[in-house]
Amino acid sequence: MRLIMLAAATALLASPALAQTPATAAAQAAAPPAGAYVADPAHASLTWKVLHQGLSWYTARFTSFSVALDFNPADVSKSKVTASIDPKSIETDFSKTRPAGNTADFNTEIATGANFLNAGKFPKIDFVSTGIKKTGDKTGTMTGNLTFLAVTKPVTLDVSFIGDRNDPRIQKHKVGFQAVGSFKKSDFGMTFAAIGDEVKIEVNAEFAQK
Amino acid sequence: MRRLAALLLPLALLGSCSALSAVLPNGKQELANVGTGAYRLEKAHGSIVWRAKHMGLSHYTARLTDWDATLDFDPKNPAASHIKAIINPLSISAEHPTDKDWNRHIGEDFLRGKEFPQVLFNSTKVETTGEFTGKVTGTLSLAGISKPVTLDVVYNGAIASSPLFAGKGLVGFSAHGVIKRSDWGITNYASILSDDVEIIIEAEFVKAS
Repeated sequence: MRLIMLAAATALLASPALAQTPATAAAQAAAPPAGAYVADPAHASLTWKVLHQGLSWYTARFTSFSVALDFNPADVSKSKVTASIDPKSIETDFSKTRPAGNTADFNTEIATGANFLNAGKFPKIDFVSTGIKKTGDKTGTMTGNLTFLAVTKPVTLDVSFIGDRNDPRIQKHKVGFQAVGSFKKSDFGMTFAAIGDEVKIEVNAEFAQK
Repeated sequence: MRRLAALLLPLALLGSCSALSAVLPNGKQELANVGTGAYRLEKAHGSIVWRAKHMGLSHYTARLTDWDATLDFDPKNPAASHIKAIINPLSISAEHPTDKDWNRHIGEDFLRGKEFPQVLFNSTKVETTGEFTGKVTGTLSLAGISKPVTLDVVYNGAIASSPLFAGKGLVGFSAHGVIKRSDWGITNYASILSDDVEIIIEAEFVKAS
C-alpha cells in the first residue's frame, strides 16, 4: 500500500499528463506481474503447532518444501497454488534441547514413526488449491486438497497478501503472503493421544517470479 | 531396574510406545490442584520463535533453540509468580537453504552474541487479565542493554503428576509479545527488516523436587 501511494505520488509529481489519471498510474504501479512464481526458500517458513498434553502448543517446522504459485492479480480467484513437503525435513530442534542423556533422534522418530508422519511409507505431503476467494483488499481464503498419510481431504487457509516489490538482489519481482489455518489430525487417520486433534499451520513465504 | 528405566524414559518421551501414550494424562486448564513453588523448563517442549517483516514481503520466521528458564509459580496468587530465562543468542536457527553462515551472522552481527553471550529475561511484574491469562513484564537484557518488555501469557494447563517425570507435576504456558529491536541498539538492515520483532514462546515446566 505504501508502495502504491509512493508510486502514485511520484507519478503525480513527475508528470502532469499522468497526474490527470493518477488512478491509472497507481493501478499500473500496483499490479504485480501475473504468471508463475516459486517460493524463495531463503524467505519461506512452514511452522506447525499441536497442543501437547494440554500443556503447550508444541512448535516445529518443515525445512524442505516447495510452493508454486500461478498468480493472477487481476482476478486472484483464478490463481493456483501447488505445494509439496518432504516430511523427513521435520525440524523439532529437540536434538539441541533434549535433556542430558537422551540421545534418541526425535526428528527421525516424528518423521518416520508409524504414529506420526510415517515418511518411509508416505514420502510426500501435498497441497493443491481448488478454490481461492477474496475476502478483503489484501485477504482471502484458499481451499485445497491436502494429501497426508495417503488421505486426501480439503483444508482451508486464511491468506493475507503482505506486499510486492522488485527484489534488486535477484532482479525479479516478488510477492509475499502469509497463510494460516488448521486441520484435524484424526481426519487423516492420526490418533496419537498425547497431542490434541487440532494441527495449526502457518506459512510465511516470499515468491519470486519464475 | 535403573537401566531399564533409563531406557524407557526416552522412549516414553518420544511417544514410540503407543500403549504408554494412551495412558499419558493430558493437562487440565485449572489452577486448583497445581503445585506451588519452583519449576524448571522442560527443554524438549519449549520453543522461542521470532518474526520480523522482511522487505514488506513476508513475516520472516526463525528460532532461538538453546535456552533455559526457572519459574516460581504461585497458582493461588499468580501475580506473586516470578520467571527468569536465559537464552543463548548464538543459537539462532533460521534454515537458510544455501548460506551456512546465516545463523552465525544473525547471532553475532544482530544479537552481538560474542560480546554479550547471554540474553536474560527477569520478570518484575505479573498481572492477571483473566482466569487463565495475564501479562508478564520483565527486564530483557540483550546486546548489552536492559529494557522492560511485556508479554501476553496464556496458562494452558497442568498435569498434577506425570509418569514421565517420576510423578512430578507439569505446567504449560504460551507467551506472545512484540519488541522494538532498536531499543536494544539492533538496527542492522533497518531499510529492509522491521523494527518490530514478534516473539512467540511455548513452554512446559517440570516441578522441582
